[in-house]
Amino acid sequence: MSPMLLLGLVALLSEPAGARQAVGVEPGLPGPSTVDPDIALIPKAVTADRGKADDDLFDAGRTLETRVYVEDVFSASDYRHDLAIPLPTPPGTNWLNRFSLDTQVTGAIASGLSFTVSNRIDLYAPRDADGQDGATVGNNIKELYLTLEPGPGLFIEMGRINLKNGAASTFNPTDFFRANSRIVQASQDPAALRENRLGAVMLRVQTLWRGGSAVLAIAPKLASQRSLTQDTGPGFATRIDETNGTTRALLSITQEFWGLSPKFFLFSDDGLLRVGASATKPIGKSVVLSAEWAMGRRRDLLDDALCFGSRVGDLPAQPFEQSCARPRRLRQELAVSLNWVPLANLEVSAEYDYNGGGLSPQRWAELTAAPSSRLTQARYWYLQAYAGALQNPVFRHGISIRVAQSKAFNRNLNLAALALINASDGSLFGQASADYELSRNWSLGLTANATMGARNSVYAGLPQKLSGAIRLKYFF
Amino acid sequence: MKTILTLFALGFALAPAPAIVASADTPSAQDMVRAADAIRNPGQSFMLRNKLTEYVGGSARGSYGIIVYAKTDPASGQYQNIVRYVAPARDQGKLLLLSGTTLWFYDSASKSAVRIAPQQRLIGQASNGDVLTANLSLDYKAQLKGPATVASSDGKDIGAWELTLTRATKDAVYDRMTYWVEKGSYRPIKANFYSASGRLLKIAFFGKYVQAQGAMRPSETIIIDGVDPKLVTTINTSGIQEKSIPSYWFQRDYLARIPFN
Repeated sequence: MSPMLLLGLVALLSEPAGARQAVGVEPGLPGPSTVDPDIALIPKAVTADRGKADDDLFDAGRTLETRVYVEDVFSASDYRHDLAIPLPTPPGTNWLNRFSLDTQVTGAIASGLSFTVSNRIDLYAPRDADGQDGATVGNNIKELYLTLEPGPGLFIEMGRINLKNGAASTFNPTDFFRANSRIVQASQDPAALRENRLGAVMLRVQTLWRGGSAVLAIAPKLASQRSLTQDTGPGFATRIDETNGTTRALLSITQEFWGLSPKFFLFSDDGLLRVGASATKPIGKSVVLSAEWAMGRRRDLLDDALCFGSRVGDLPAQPFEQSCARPRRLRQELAVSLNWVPLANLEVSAEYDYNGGGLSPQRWAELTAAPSSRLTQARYWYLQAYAGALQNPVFRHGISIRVAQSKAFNRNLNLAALALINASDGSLFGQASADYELSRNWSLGLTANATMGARNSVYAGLPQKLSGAIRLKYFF
Repeated sequence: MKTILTLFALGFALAPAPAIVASADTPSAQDMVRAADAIRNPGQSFMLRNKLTEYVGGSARGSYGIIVYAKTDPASGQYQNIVRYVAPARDQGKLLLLSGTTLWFYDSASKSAVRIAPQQRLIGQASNGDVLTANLSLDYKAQLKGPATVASSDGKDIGAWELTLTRATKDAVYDRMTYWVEKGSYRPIKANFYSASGRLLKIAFFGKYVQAQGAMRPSETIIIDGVDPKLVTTINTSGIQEKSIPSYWFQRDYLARIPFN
């Protein structure tokens, strides 16, 4: 049955003319309704605004979509001076200012052909992000690619593409292109980490059908792998040697069933295969459960790091090259998260992360056993750098809790608190942030971070004890 | 078809002397809700623009622009929706997808889609249910309470049918609604939304009827918070047009490709 036909028939045949007149075709101030006190709840400003010309919120004829903002981030840190494993070189400046112009543009070139550019240019003061003397201007080409749509539901793309997957919030085992993609940012919030990263140069083909899709992405090796100790400060390098240092390929298939939105993955990194899957499920109106898993043969994180370091020349071949001889074993990665929305503007997330390649407490104890030895120092800090580049937890078991409130106190204020807890040693990284939308274009943000735990724990073993940032952002 | 014929016959029966009270000749409550759905929703596959303005304590606090794409799911008859944020600039490129029981939020800045709980609010004070198109007749069981006089959003008294809608499917956003539709035209005039405990959650007035896609349709919805009536959101609708939308749009993996113009 067509509701439109039904409506037409009913309206045509049975509507008294007087009743139609009664509905307010012409807007005006609330009239003298004596039967419905709710009408008094409508603010006078609503009726007054009816006569005003609409803002030009909708520009239907545009051929470009742009999202451009500038932000200035001033950050300061308080460093630990009694680290269990001292840094090879002391930390640089304890304050830094970054001014950035972030541009994201999508535009149509012709029918079925479009382009996407996403770029961030940074100006640092007084020196670069590591506090070392060097360039003060840097550029990050996050994305630059063409999209061709040769037929309905078929897309072919080529260029630098930020390809992301993952259902969990903090650790995403199925986000296979996350390695070596990070750029400097003020926040450790997973949402910020996802936004600020580099894409890999790839060919991506996607086909979609009702309720499902398949994606094949091939990112070839275009340069030798970049070392982790090489200067990563500002500059205009494309950093292709970071994002395309190996040949990677990903096949993913999605097909909706049972409301689980599952996704299946087959990934190859220089011939090393990994498989993965993810699924999500809402429970009632206020809870969403998510899980993602990946599995593949690899060494543990420490051996992997030392092997990589010796091969790219960051670490001496002796004794570190022997890590390459350690056998690769089947290792699992898992993230299970629960997202609860007790109030419409309040979100509480809890996540358990398992990284099968991460260190056990025993392995960690061995690693930190001789804190004054240069060998220990090299192994320890290289492991931290490597885990950071891969965006993998150092330990096997982790827990994260995040609480976020939007429109707090009925103001344009967004609050968030995040705790990353190492389940093995109890150390934690905590972050609290507040963002206030000063106007339609301006926003002001504050972030405070702290690391806590025993002296030789994972988080308290990091140089930054406390840090904070103030961020002013303007959207064009 | 049987229902159409029944209403056709009822139309003739009612035309000379509109019913003052519900009688055996009055269309069923469910048919009234169905007729009101057809007024709010302009077709099987369409797009429209919504401007949302928030008022706090009587003053406008901010406004948002969204484009809604809607298409009925042939399996359920219910609408699938895609909402594209176009203003303010900080929200540009964000998208919301509702298909069946799945609700996804995509941010073009982070290039990632996250599944969200139906209760989560994303646009100012308005709930997702306020901006998504839905056929209430599929999600609620309607009962006719009787004739009533109710105020339209411009303050005039309207002769209406008062209906009580109770949740019939798990997809229904609210547990219970009181719904007033104008006698004869079945235009939605007002709705009160309640929680399972009977608490008033919000009041909505549907007004500023304009000609769009072959019928008079409401172009303004005023939503008053039931707990704190100082919070008011208006939704002004424009640019309603039929649009052929492929079924494969309504999935997470297509969100990155929703056209911006």
